[in-house]
Amino acid sequence: MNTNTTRMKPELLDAFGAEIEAVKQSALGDRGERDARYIKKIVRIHHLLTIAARICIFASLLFLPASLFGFSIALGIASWPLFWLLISAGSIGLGIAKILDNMEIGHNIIHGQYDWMGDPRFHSRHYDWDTNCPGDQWAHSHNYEHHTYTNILDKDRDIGYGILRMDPAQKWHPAYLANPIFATLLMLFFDMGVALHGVEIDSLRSGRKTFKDVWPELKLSLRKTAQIWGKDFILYPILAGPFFPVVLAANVAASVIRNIWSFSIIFCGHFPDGVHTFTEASCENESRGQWYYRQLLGSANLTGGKLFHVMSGNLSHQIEHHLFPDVPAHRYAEMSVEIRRICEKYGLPYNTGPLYRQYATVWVKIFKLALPPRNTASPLAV
Amino acid sequence: MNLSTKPARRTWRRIADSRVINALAAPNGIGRYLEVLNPMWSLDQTRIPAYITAIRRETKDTVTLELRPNGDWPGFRPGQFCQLYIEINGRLHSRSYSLNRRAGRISVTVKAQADGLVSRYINSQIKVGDIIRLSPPMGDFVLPELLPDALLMIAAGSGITPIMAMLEAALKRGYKGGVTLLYYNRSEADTVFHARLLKLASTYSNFSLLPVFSDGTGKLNGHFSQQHLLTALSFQNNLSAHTGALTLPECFVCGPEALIQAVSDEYQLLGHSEKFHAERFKAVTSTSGDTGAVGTLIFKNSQSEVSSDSRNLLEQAEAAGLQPQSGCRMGICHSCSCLKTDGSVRNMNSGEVSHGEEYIRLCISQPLGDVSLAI
Repeated sequence: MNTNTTRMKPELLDAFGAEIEAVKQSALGDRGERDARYIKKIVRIHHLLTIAARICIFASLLFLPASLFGFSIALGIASWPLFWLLISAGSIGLGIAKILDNMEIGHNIIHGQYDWMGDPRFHSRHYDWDTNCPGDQWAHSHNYEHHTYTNILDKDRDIGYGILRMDPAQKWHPAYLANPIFATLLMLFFDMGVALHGVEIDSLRSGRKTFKDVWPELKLSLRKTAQIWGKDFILYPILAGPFFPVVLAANVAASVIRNIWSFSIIFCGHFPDGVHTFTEASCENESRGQWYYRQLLGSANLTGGKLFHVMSGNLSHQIEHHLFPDVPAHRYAEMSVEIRRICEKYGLPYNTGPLYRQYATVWVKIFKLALPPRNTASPLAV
Repeated sequence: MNLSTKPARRTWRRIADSRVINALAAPNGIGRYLEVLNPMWSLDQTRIPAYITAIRRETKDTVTLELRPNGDWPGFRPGQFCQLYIEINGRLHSRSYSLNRRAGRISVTVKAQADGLVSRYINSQIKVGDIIRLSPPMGDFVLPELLPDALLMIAAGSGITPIMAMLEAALKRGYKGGVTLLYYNRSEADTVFHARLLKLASTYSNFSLLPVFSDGTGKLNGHFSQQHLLTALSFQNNLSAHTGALTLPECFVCGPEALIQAVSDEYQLLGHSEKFHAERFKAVTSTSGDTGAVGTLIFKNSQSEVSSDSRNLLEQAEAAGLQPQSGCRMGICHSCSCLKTDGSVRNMNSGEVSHGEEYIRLCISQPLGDVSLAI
């Protein structure tokens, strides 16, 4: 859906913008111990969960039939369920820990939501996360490009991530027939996808950049990938000695769990049905009100419980996140009440729904847009 | 005389902080995990955690904190200071305070300033058992390795703190030369370490205390003058006899700019500038007016400075030919976030004022007086 931001009257847009700004300023003014306590608590949970999950994975090795057959065959068989229990708990626990680190902790800290604390441990310049994309590269490609030019075609590289066709306005090409396959691959290797997206690897194909342009950033990205994959896929497995493959499998499972979950949440942020995209021309000399208006129409929320919001890094409040990317994300839930009221007042849509519904519309889009447009009308038509 | 003891890092810390162990806790390192289990197990050598083991009230607006840092504390030379990092309402504030020893512990003495958020917090809110963080000690306002035959120390108000550390260290190590302390305060009740200094004076015959009160109740009154200097020189320990009529002793001064200037002038006049050592306690730049005051903008990493105006710091840095990282230029993306090492700025969106060492966003920060940036 393509929208022209000038459709709303300028004076109404200004009034709308002022009300949204007031919500932001009131939240910023209220930042304090509560936010610091919150982020410290989540970091603490992440650290303890990581330690516990890694211990579980290694403890499971003690119950591998192979380690017990030496004592007795019966003992070996009896311990089989215990092995599976521990290794599953470990993999899932590590996956959840990685999700917490990437979403509620890393994504939000790198946005600068906790910069005001003045503590390097929670500062966007110093924090790095447990994924392949270096934090500072992400800060540029995501915080600046995506958040400033949200859903502006040809400016926001997050529309389709350079490999998918996620908007009818993207010109169709036979390669997009593989849209669902590309999407599935991106889902499974999301950590790598994000890292390559950060260095604009897709611009090689379009010829916008040469390999030489990309290499300095790519080098840093590969170094970070080596650090993270080296840890999970080499160092920890080596500690298990002969059980190298078991620990490797558990860690791969944890990474894939994280990849599938992050992909799902993130694709529900801007691609569900009803989300608008914008043309570059319509966003020139935007006022503050227009900017807020575009962020609102360009994002979609997910409904769910408190735990769901934490696990999504509060990206379930994508609308609030795009209006207020540097407000501590745990405040989005309470801010959303006010935002919905303002949206109702100005008759603006507030796109929200449960995960299964929003996600289904995303996949429908992935399949639909794999095919060329059926009519010959301009692809810019709604 | 070097009183610092720089013990090697404890074995377990060296092992824990090794490359392999840190690689297992990539990307942020093992220290973050350890400090969740026990805050004192932090491996951060730039912000060393320290327990507050005791709080002692010195005067009605001054307290001394006794601190027990973890094993990464490198030791300090009397006269040095460090940054104290204290969290107040979720925000980490840093302030410099002089270090001393008290009952075998490291201590800092803090006078509550009328508009001092941190100094007032330390005086009224901080509790025994709290954990704060310390930077490694810094500063070269220290006693020379080889102590001279005579020492003149001059302090005013809370400027006594580094002087006290030097004085006690010298006397307790058996320094036999004459030491005179010229110490300026409003009144006896406002005098930090008054009882402790009297005790030192009665214990060590080579130490003379010369308190000066501005309320007119002392033997000496008013501000520093040549007469005060002469009195100090001729005082009971016969300082001048050691040094000769026209020779001045090695002098250490800590206090407000006016005092430092006055003493410096005397030393210069008598041709002994090389014996003059001073430590300035910089006051926070005033936050007057709505438009940014003009001051100096210092870019520390690129070793350049320009005079500033009321535009945002990003524009001014760019105008000065620097290319700091930047992004949205509206305070949203934090790309231009940068460490301000000194000075005050106003957040142009919220009006909030930031003092001292703190991260700021250049694109929405307006300087208030002199500002130093790590770019």
